[in-house]
Amino acid sequence: MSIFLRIIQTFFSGKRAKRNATQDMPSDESNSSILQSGSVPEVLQFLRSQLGNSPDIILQELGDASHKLHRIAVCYVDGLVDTKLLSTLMRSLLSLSLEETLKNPQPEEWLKEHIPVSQISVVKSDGPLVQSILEGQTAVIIDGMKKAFTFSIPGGSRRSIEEPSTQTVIRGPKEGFTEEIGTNIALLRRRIRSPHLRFETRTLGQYTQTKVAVGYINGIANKDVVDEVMARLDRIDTDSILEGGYIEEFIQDGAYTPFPTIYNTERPDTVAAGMLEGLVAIIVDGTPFTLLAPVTFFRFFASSEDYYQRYDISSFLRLVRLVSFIVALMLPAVYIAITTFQQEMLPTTLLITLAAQREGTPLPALLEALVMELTFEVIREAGVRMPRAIGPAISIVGALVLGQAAVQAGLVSAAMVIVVSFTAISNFVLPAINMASAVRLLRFALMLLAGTLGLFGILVGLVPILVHLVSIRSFGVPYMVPLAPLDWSNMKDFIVRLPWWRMKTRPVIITKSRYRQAAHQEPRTQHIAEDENFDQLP
Amino acid sequence: MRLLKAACLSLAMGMSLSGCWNRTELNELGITSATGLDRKDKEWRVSYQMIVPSVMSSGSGGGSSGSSSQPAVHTFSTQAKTIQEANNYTNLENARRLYVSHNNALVIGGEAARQGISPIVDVYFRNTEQRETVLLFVTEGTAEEMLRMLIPPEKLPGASLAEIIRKENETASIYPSINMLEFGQRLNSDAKGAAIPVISIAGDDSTEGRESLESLDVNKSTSPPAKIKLTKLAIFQGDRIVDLLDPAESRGITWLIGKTKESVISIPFPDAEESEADSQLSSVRIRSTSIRIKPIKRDDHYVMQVKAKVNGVLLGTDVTEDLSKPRVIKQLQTQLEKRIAQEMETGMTAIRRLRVDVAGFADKVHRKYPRDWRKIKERWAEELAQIELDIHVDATIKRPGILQKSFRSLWQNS
Repeated sequence: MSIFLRIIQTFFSGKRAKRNATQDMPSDESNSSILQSGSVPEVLQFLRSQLGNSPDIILQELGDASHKLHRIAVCYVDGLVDTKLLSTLMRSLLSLSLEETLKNPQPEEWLKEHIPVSQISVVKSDGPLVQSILEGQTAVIIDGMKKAFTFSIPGGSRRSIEEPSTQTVIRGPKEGFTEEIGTNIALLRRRIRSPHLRFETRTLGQYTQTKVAVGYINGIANKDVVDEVMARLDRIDTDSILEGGYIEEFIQDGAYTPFPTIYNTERPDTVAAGMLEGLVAIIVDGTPFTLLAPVTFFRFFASSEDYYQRYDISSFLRLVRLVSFIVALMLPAVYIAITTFQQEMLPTTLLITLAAQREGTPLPALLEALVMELTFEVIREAGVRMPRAIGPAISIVGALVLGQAAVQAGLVSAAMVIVVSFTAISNFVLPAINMASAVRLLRFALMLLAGTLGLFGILVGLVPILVHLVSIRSFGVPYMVPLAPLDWSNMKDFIVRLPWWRMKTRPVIITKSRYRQAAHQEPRTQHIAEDENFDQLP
Repeated sequence: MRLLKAACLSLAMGMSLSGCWNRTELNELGITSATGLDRKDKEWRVSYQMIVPSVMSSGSGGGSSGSSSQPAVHTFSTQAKTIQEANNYTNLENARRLYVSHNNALVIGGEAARQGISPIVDVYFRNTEQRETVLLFVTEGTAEEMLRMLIPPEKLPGASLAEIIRKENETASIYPSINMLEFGQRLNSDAKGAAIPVISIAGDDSTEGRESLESLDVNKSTSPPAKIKLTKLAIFQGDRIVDLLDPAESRGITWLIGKTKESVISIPFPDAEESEADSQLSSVRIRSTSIRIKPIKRDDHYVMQVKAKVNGVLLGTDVTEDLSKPRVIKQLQTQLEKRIAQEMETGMTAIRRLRVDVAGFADKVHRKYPRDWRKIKERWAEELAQIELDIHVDATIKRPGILQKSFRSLWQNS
């Protein structure tokens, strides 16, 4: 595998024009601030030149006859502010005695007393003024004052908290992250009401100015990992961050690996649980998907529901997921290898049945499998992209035409349809979609190897995959922990999840803070109703 | 960079290998279900029973409807100086690559059995595709003919032949089954004797009777005039056939080989021991046996001490006495023990008569008296004729059933 990756590496690392992302950015460095003029028309003129004539940017002058001398201007982006609060703000601004405001040595204190908006800050230079308007603040410029005030009255339409559509559970909280970072942080804070829950923010992307918050629990998270995450984030210099995926590719450990080394989830409870084990969350504004790092291979087989259900059934389900992973990775390859090379491995009756199905099929097994797998990928991609209204049509085409009809037409064998569909279903068992996609890619490589060298070819493919898996790391943590390096203390929450009272310690490899709960909490039978009590009953 | 180049090259080579290595699609395989080997005109005649997969599954589920007009196997024969060469000639008349890994039964023709079958053993032990687990059969006529016969309710005669002997071993234990591996081991042991079950045509042995078994029309009648059946046990001295034994002798030999698993034995009730014709018979199903044979030297000769532990279940009885009494059961057990000892003696008599060590006594003597073995090795055949059996059978009959008396006693006593 790594050889493939090295080839790709040589492609990309060639003579690439090194472009400084900042060079074609609009320069907002002006030596003398226009605010120093203290004149509303001039400031408005400046803002117009900076922000253009977009209809969503509202530059509004307030004032009537009595305010001839001292004019007030309000600047905000339509749709980012709460219109009700805005009108309250305007009303109080209008009723304000501006003379007294100007006379006051501390005007912001004075404003805070008279205007019912909690967050007021002072802006003294041009750049931050433009920026704060774009971020959704309402700027107020008062004639005669050499500074501007920004009021935070966020509003506008945004999505409410809904059930996450990608990682659904039967038992467990049903709320998911939204696109708004403030809401997302609040969702986490609501789960961990501890002063140790910390968020550090950065703004990334020259154009998008995306807010990114790094959350961790002080004392549980490894400080080195937090520092490393911050350092890697600070290293990002790009024009846009529209989704966590941008950041993921910038900060992950190895550049060339099909396996995800950063977890992403839409579920606040998963993120909270991760942070309580010492993981660092990276919340990106504008997407409901939050990143978690460092992660190990086996975390992708765990669902948050595993911890809400009884431990026996969750252990069984994890086993099912692991088996599905192997099936999704290898089933078509094994089928090809056995039916074209190692037929002696099949029981006689199965061999005859399979041979009877293959009777008259035109394609060799490898090509047949490839065609079917590709067809499934096409259907799947169509299913994701197509409008919901034509969904039933596609499922009829997919199920009937490509399944039943293809077999009856003698184009593919029925066994191959079973293999391909079972592989496809197994792929969906994995709770993490990015791990499932890694499997999808590797499956094709294994199929080609199985079609050329049989079971030996599968081995030839599996060994490098395994070597690759044990060699990659996620923020310094070996990917295959606790399997390689072997660590018995972390096996409590591995393929088998022990009951909660047995999981006394946190995963030690990630965090230095060891104990999560007191020992000896296993439930005991208590005879609450003693026999004599029964005797006393009437 | 060198590594990269090497990787690219091996990848490209691997891709171009596709279809050139030993890749065979399932529909290019001629899966054989039985093989027959005959000697004819001093040459080997190899017959194959090749499965026709499309007949086997009718496509729309179910499968065993049997409505197809084509037999599920196709048989053909080729002839050459060696078996391998004859194999080679199969491609002159067959579109598929013969695939013998799933071969279930190997039928040896009478002529080949008389002339020696060691070349067959060599073929099976030398090549990897042929499996040593193939079950052996001998036929008095030609194997080629046997392979053409259908075994009516089943679709694959070869597979059903193997299944017949497997089931027979598990439930009747009259003819011991033997596969190529065991046969090879026996040839290579001190005993150098082996037993292979014989199949023959039972019923109408005329040409019409035989021909009726070769066509699917046989499925149209409820009882075909002829049938393939296990009839005898062929005794091999070395790689050549010596004699054929009848079922009674064969059963004794099965006991002595230690291959008896389950069987049904009828025992007469003690009182009517002499006149078996009107005696009260009971039948016992042997459920488990453990047989230990130990050679004991007794004045220059050897006695084989046979210790058998047998567990049985009472299947049915005519005995008029009360079965709930331990005395009755004990008498039945003694009777069973006697009967088993008798059967073993019958087998031993056959061994003494033929002077072929089918039961493998030689190895036991060699192991226990290695020094003596060197002396008697040469004249083992004579020694074998003088071997006595010292039989101790310990039989238990469990579960007489919830009926304590037989039905006969009900009407006789009232």
